[in-house]
Amino acid sequence: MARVVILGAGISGHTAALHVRRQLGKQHEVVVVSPNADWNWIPSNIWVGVGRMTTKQVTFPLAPIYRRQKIDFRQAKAVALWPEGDAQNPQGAVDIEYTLPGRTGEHELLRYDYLINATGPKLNFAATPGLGPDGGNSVSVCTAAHAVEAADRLEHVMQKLEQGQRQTLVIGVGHGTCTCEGAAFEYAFNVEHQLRTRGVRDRAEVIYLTNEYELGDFGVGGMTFAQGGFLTSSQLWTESLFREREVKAILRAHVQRVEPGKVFYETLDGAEGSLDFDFAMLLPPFRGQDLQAFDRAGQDISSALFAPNGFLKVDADYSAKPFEQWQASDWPRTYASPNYPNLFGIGIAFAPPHPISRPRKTADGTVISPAPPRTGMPSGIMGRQVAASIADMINKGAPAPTHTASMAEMGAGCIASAGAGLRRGTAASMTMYPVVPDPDKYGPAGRSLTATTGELGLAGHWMKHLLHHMFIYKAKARPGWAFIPE
Amino acid sequence: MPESPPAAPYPGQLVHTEAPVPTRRTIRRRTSLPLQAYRFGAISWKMLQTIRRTHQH
Repeated sequence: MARVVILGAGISGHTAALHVRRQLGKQHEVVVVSPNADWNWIPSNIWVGVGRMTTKQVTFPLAPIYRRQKIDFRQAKAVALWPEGDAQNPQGAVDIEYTLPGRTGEHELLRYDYLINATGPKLNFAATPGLGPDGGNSVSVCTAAHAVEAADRLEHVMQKLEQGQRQTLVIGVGHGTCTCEGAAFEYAFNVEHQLRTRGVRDRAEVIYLTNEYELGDFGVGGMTFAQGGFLTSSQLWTESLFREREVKAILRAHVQRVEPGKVFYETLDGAEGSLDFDFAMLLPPFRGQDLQAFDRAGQDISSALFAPNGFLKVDADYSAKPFEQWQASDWPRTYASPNYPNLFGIGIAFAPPHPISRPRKTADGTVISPAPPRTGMPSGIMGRQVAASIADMINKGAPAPTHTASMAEMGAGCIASAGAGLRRGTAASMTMYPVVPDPDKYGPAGRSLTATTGELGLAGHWMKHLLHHMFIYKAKARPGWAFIPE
Repeated sequence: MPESPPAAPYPGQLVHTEAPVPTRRTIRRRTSLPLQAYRFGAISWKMLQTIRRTHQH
């Protein structure tokens, strides 16, 4: 009997758990450890954040799904890895601390044969003084609860606008190293759409504050599209939308601190500025969860297992090299730890070898460039492929992972909502292939010009709605779920 | 057609962009039900192609 332990039940961890359970016989055990009782379809949090959806529409309890799927669920957080086992037992283990009401704080040492670290990001609001909803001065849409709070604050601003007061809304990222600019973009345009729907757009100033060098970068270095016989860029395309909807943008910015009603930032050229706001939704930077690692003797080996940002090192090329020497082959393929072949890191939890966008710093050394996104479709694909590898290692005795999922050989579909509504909604529908550019294979654009596309329209909004229902159906492991691709 | 954003009071602001703004016809097309139903099919096809390419590896 083998035991597969999966840390985290987000998109990658939950996908891996369902697939590995499906592929293993009943004699094998699959255990999911997650501090959260509910699963959250995070892409729809932006609609919760503008009051168009409720928490119930984007979350559901995990326990009944896992009970039905014969997956052992522990509502707990991982605090330490023992990949070589401990003095009593050489089998790898993970120390978990329960968050389940009634067992809160209780520890358990969980032995494993295979471990998948899919713990996702730690929302690092602490990186910027005053950032965030918990004791800070801004809101977030990173969790459903955060999005509910954002919607409440937004409604307060809407009411002031309806009373004739002018309001300034700042939406974007709260640190120079943030990722998920796409989510900030979506929220900015959904808010703008709501303002128009409520008839108060003329009294509101909407400002998008970002660490991107250019609009349309989205942390993937931008995209090149072939449209109407011309090559065009995601920059031009995105700028057009900003100009059409009269959303102002502050680019290349690192937020230094957020005070009540005021955000202070510096830009890549060294200039410093501040913005007064009535509403600020600023996403936090991410770092790895607070996990330690120990060898059998109890020596701390965290720095060998994890990158300085706390993400798990996997089979990537982490050697430091300049942007010009970055290669598609730097990116991991199997997501196995180089030191421990039964330990995997997927989704946001794996350490990328470097960003995708060109890295940039101020003269004083402040990094202002997006971290690479690895959410949504790539996360799900990693989960599925790592699950297949582990199943082959258990069922067929494969000596090494049999499936790969390099982001340099993986496409992604991204639907960025720019306003909700079945008749009046809009979304930017983008496909890109591959996610990590490969100029050696695809020329200067770095990506296939036939498979990298973008368009704006109501159809994109329908697609986002369809994906919302489809992926929640899949995550609930309803009949036929395995046929729905990631 | 909206004018270009005015000169910036904020450091780093996107002061001016020459990006084209859509015509009224383009905006209408973006919400035209028959056309968007067709585009929905096209986007679905593109998504499926992206998935197919990814799974070839």
